Amino acid sequence: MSDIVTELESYVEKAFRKAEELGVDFIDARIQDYRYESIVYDNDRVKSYSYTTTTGVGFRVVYKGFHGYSSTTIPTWEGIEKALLTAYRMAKALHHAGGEPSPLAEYPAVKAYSRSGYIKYPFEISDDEKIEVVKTLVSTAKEVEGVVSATARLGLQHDRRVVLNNEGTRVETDVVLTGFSVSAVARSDKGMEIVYDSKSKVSGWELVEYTDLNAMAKEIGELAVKAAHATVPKAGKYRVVLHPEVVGLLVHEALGHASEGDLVASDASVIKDKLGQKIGSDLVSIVDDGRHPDGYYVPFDDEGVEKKKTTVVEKGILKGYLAGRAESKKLGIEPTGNSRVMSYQHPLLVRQTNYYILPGDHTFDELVKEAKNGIYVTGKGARGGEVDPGAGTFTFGVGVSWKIENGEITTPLRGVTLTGMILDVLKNIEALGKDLHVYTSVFGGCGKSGQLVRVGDGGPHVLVGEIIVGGR
Amino acid sequence: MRLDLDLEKLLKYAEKMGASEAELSASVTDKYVFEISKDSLERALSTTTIGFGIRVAVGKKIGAAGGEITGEEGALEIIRHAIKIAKSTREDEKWPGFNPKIGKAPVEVPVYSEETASLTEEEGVKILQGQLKLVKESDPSITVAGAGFRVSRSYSEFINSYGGPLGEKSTSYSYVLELKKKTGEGEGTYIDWKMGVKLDVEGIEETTQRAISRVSDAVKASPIEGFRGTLILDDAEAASLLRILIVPAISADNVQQRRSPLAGRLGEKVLSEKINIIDDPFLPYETGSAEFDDEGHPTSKKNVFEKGVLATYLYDHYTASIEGRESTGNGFKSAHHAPPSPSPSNLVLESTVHKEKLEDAIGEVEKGLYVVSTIGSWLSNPVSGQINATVTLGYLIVGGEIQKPVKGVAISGNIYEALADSFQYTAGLRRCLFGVCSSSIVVSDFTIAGH
Repeated sequence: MSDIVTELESYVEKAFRKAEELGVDFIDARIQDYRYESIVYDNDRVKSYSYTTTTGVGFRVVYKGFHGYSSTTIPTWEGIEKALLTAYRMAKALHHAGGEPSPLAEYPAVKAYSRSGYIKYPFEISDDEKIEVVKTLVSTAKEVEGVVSATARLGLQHDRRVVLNNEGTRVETDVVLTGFSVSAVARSDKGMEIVYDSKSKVSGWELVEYTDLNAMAKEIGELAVKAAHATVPKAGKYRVVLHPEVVGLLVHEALGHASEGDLVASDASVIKDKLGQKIGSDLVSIVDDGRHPDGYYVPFDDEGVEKKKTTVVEKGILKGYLAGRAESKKLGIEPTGNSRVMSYQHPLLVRQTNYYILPGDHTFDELVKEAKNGIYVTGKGARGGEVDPGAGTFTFGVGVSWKIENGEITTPLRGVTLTGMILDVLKNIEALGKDLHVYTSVFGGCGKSGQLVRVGDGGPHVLVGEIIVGGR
Repeated sequence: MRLDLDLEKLLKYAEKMGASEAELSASVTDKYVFEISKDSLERALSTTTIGFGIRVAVGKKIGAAGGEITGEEGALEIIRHAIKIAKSTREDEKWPGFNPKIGKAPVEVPVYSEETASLTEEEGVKILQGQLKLVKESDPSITVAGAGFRVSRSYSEFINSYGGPLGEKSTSYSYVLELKKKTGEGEGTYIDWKMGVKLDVEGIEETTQRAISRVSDAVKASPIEGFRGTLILDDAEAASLLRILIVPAISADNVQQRRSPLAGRLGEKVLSEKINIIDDPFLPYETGSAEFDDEGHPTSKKNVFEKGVLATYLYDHYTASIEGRESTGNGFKSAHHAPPSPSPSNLVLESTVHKEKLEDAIGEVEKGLYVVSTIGSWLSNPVSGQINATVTLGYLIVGGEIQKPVKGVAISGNIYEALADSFQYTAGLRRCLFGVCSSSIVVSDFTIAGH
């Protein structure tokens, strides 16, 4: 990576002293050097091969409890000073406008450096080898009879961040993320359907080398054909077994957002004032863990606070919220290392890291047997989810799913969506699988207030006694 | 605002470095944002960014790169990276070259407002504070859980090996508001927003007033049993479904790659004959309006559906050349470095049968649901046309009258059925959000999946 980070950092100490002379309560700086490479292969050609880079420094000035932000890409004292003074001006403007100040909770100064591991640095792989990956995924998917269109993507990310503050914190994190995806469209007399799968990991090129690309693409092609021939279930209430990918979506959307401390503090969470109360079945324990090996790597947040494994729910009881320093002061809890930004330009928000349900004791076959009649809801082709954390309502578009009849998986279903109220679903969990899977993605993440950050989510297979399925 | 980059010089540099042709774009943007959290102004941000991107061709091999830069040196590095990619990638046999027809549409389209551009930070924060005051004076039991007001002004420039530079200055603002109310009956939340090119303080206040009234209804909302009946989709919800389901389906790229359910259906009656859908880049002060697209091609107004008949797809230069035709001026990019993809400017749904007043439409419904707020509509499937959305606020209509507010039910169906035989008419005022404009739409015989 470039040493523009060092260049920007050389002015930060001077900026902090200047801010202190201006009478600020607190100032921090986020320096970022980010690069992203993307290749899209569409049916018979490289549709795009692109590279983007973002480098700069962002300041947050806290003045009498009000937070002003500004940023610059210009590595000179003039550029830095202008950004600092703008952040100060914005914080002062808020102070003059009135309102409730939002001071920060105490947190000790931290000095740390943390780098994610990899064997082969993906940005050094030849372009030819990279293109061959997406070409293979597409051509294998298209070999499946009935597939009319296929697309594959490769994404590589390197994100280096340095957080500094005027209390003496300097935390540097360096994360490399690699991933690829394939989607296939199949057509039948019942219409068209698209199925998608992706694989991403905080690692290097070895992820590609350890994956059987042909098997992955063939499976997606075949699933697309099955989906195109499948029926849409009748809308209504069902017993369901959820695949870990869907469980990840469910906990991230349905509980994760509601447990974000900024939403709790601003009265926009359905679980506000429920600490210590029972909000789910006794079986349910949920954590937010910045260091799960299959999730995204967040050893420290963008305030320089260490991200430990936070227990949000333990045996059905709400144990905690996620919080940055400002929210923890408001809520009277410890900072949990969840204050994150999309880039150096953005303001801090409380975000999840890797959010998952802890596993239970059932085998997959036992879960299906206990479901008796219902739907096995899987994630390949899932399009994501959305939640209204204030109302407690959620909805997900899931992937190709399967009927469960007399305790056995039978025919495929498409067009399945899940909808419901957060707390109902947590209470309706009847059994948990022994398996645990956590997923992250180099292509997407979680969106909130216009900021996208990488996250991970997952869990075991889960049996839910009742959930609303949207269909015909 | 000034862009301190000489695109003509940078284009020559790219050609000197080995590009047989190139396409460059850059922009400088000033923006500020104020945010409220739980009834209190809490955060403010002000920043200036310079974005730069390039696509280069080395013969029929294409590379692209872009990012935020500090000045010329950053742009040169990006150019070198794009050329490195182009030299090592595979040939695209169908590559037609970059768009050779550079110019603006013969219509002056206002996308810049001095009123927006000159709004100071102090004035901006006052507008947001005014909304907080409005809420509190109307009903002190309502909390402004969150609100944001953003103002930006930009200057952008385009050039390629065949023409330019073309320049455009633009402004935009957006206002978003999330209200929460708690009473003995329960809790309710409601989110609404307003955006545009030209500051509309009156419109912002109307948005706040509407949110105040709806959050009070949301408190009383509850799930209901599922049924089949008439669905009235509020203007914003209708625009949202069109953006998710129709916009990808009319892209010539998705049609050519066989990902669109509208492939091979040109000239066919697909929707109700009461429906026209128009791509209109000339609407004054709308966020999708433009005189040229991101490939420098002049934009044009066109009927995409005329009396329900599919009249055209939307083309950029690449997809147009595959069919031996000219671009429709719809080559828009999501970022400076991204390839263009055929996308609408402003997509407008109109119906030949329209009721001025929404109340009249509600009065005609025997049993139905008037939906004003959903989550998850973006999870609807553009390949199959399958609609999915969970209602966070709707109103149950029985015998032509609103009975009660509803939440937690799902709406399911297919857009091509909803806008064909089941389509009745449009009603009420038209609203544009994120480049799609619609009045409320009335659809009969629709599935509401309830408790």
